[in-house]
Amino acid sequence: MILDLIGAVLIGLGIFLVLLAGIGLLRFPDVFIRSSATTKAAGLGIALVLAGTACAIGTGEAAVKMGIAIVLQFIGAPVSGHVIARAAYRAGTPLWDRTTVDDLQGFVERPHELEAR
Amino acid sequence: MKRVIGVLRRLPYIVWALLVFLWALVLSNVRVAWEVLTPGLSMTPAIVRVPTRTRSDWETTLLANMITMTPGTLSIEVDEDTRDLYVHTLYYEGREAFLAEIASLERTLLKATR
Repeated sequence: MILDLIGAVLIGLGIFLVLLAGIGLLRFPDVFIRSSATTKAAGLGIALVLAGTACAIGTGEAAVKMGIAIVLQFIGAPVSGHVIARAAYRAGTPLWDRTTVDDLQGFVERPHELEAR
Repeated sequence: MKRVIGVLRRLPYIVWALLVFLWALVLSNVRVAWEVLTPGLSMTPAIVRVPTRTRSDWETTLLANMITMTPGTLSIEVDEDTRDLYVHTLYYEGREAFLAEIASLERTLLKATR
C-alpha cells in the first residue's frame, strides 16, 4: 500500500520532468541547448519512472531489473546527448546568436554555417 | 586481489562521487525546469575548451558523462591527443569560474578512479 503510493509519486514526478523537457525542446533556441536540457530531464525523469515502477511491483526481482535499467539509462543518456550535439556541430547547425564564446571554431571542420532561423 | 583492495580503499570516494553526481543531476533538472517554466530566456551559452588531467579513455568518458549530467553543461567534442574536452555551457560567467567548476568535478572523479 505504502509502496504503491511511493511508486505513484515517483512515476508522476518522472512524467512531469519529461513533460518539462518536452516543453523545453519547443522553447529553447538551438540544438545544443535543447540537447543539454533534454539529456538531463531524460536521465532523471526516466530513472524516476523506473524506480516508481519497481516500487509499484514491489518484488526484489523488479528492483534488480529496474536498478540495472536505471544504471544503463545514466550511461546512455549523456552519450546520446553528446553524440547529437557533436553531429549537429559538424553538420554546421547554427549556434544561438547570444552564444558568447565558441572555442570549437577552427578545431573541427564545419561546412558553411547554415542560415540561422 | 590487488585490484579488489584498490577498489575497497577507494570505496568512500566512489560513493562520494556517486552522491555528487546524483545531487548535480537533481540540481540540473531544477535549473532546466525553472528555465522552462519562467518566461524569457536568461541563458548566456558558450562552448569552452577545458583541459583535463584524465589519463585513460575510461576516465575521459566518465568525466565527459559527469559534465553532461551536471547543471547547464554538455560535452560536445574531445581532442583525442590532449584529452581536452569542448563543453557547451548554458550559463557562462567567464573562463576562470567555469574551469574551476569543472576542475572541482574532475577532482571528485579522479579520487574515485585512482
